[in-house]
Amino acid sequence: MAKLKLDKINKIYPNGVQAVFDFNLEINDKEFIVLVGPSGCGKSTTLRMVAGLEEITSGDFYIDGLRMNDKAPRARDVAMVFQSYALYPHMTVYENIGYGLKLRGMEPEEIEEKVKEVADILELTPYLYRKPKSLSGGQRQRVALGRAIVREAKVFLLDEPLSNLDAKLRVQMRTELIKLHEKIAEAFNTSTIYVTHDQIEAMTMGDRIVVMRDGYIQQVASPKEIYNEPVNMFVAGFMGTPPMNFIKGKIDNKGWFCFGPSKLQVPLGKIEVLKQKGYIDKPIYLGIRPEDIHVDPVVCETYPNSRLEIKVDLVELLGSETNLYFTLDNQTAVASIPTQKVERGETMTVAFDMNQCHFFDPETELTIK
Amino acid sequence: MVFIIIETKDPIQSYKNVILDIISKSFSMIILEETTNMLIIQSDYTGVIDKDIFLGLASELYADLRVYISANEPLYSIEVVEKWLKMIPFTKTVVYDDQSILLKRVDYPMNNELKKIVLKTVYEDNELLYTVKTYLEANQNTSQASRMLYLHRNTLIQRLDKFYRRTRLDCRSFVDAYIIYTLIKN
Repeated sequence: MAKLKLDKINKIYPNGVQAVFDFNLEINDKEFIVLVGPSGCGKSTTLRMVAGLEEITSGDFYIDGLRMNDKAPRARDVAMVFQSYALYPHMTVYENIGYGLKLRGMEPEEIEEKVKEVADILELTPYLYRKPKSLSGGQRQRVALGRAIVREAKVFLLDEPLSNLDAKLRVQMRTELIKLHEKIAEAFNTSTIYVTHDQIEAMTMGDRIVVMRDGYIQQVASPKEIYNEPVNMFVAGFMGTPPMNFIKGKIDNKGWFCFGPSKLQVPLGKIEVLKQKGYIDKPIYLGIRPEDIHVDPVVCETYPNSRLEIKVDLVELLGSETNLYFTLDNQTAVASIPTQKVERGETMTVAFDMNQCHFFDPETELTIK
Repeated sequence: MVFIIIETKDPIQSYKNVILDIISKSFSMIILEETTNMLIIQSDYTGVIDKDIFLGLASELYADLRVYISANEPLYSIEVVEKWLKMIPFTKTVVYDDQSILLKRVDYPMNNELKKIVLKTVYEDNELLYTVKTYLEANQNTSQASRMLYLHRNTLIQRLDKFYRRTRLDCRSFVDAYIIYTLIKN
């Protein structure tokens, strides 16, 4: 079992800088939690506090009901995988994975059994007697994971383990890590906390995502909820590639979102909420994801009151999808469409699926709902 | 003869056996000094000491380690490096070499003692200092700097080489140039 509880955790450094503010989170058994946010948001600091490498300034941290604040890292039953792999260059894969077991006084036969079991899970068996310098980046990453897995710890802590890999390998390793977590969660009842700045990793890997900014938790939810129901502009803009479009305007008393010379009709349900909250005729931000802006003429027909004429500033061909950049009332927007022939400078009609849009308060940046 | 300083946040005694075990498997060494949180070792190993040994140790011990690895012919004494380490906050695992520790050190208040230690005999060579300063202020452009100094370009290059021989700091390297300029700009 590995239930974790972080209760009102704060981290203040001796120089007075506060890196983490009032962090509250409960992690369930075998859960895969991702801490995501830009550099400096406090995610690695939080992970280090869980590991015991950073002192918790205030608040309480529990694993299975036991308070861990004053326990040394080695006594916490956590296993950590660092960004830099940190393998002993002069030892073989076998020795790298087995060294920690040797330190614990395990017998050689038992060490052999455990190392080979882990090597099998990680598909490292053919490389057991090689040294790290003759391994690829992905293989080294797996050895680093192996060193952590043999500890049979309750909690796995991974600090941006894929950021040193090239893009293609990162995609491959993401899938492998998910499968690996499922295997070891089953075998050892392990929970995992994974830190990344990459929102695609967060979306594809986590059971739940914790979005952080400037030391504060912004939202904790499943990937689907984070994507479809962001609580504020930061979460809405951080998750998703290309990011959500934000357009500043006003809602008039006839239920239209107006910006510059353009206007888009807001669905009735959303208008009622905006009226109730007092946002009619006040500045407001409209948020709409690039994939909810359509160019297909048939689709555009279904949105007669949210169509606009635009001029394409830039075309980004990504393969099966294309990003079209255009300007609306001096604000840049992007539509993500199935690839078709579009030229830069071309004028075309786009339609906004206003059922998928969000509205945000311009001062608090919170979602209006 | 290289020396290595290994520092821990907690008493090093609880980690010492593992540290020495791992290091001794990589190269031969002797312990020069041991304090509550620090171990200083010396080795006659002439190869490049891989900092991954220490990163591996930090991940093995689940402890932050601060390590300094000197050059094979140390540029700075143990006492000087220990002083610098006292100035620089120990936050997380880091392995310093001469360049990276100096880069950190120059972020903190400087004094003539530091300049003398780093610049060595160049500290009193005003002509060479002026040459180097002008070169750096000319954006490391040898042609422009030589014109400003009324020197032949080859003469300028010889002086930059002389500065390197005396200090082991390379004016042509961006990081070294930053360190040098921070030291000599005033």
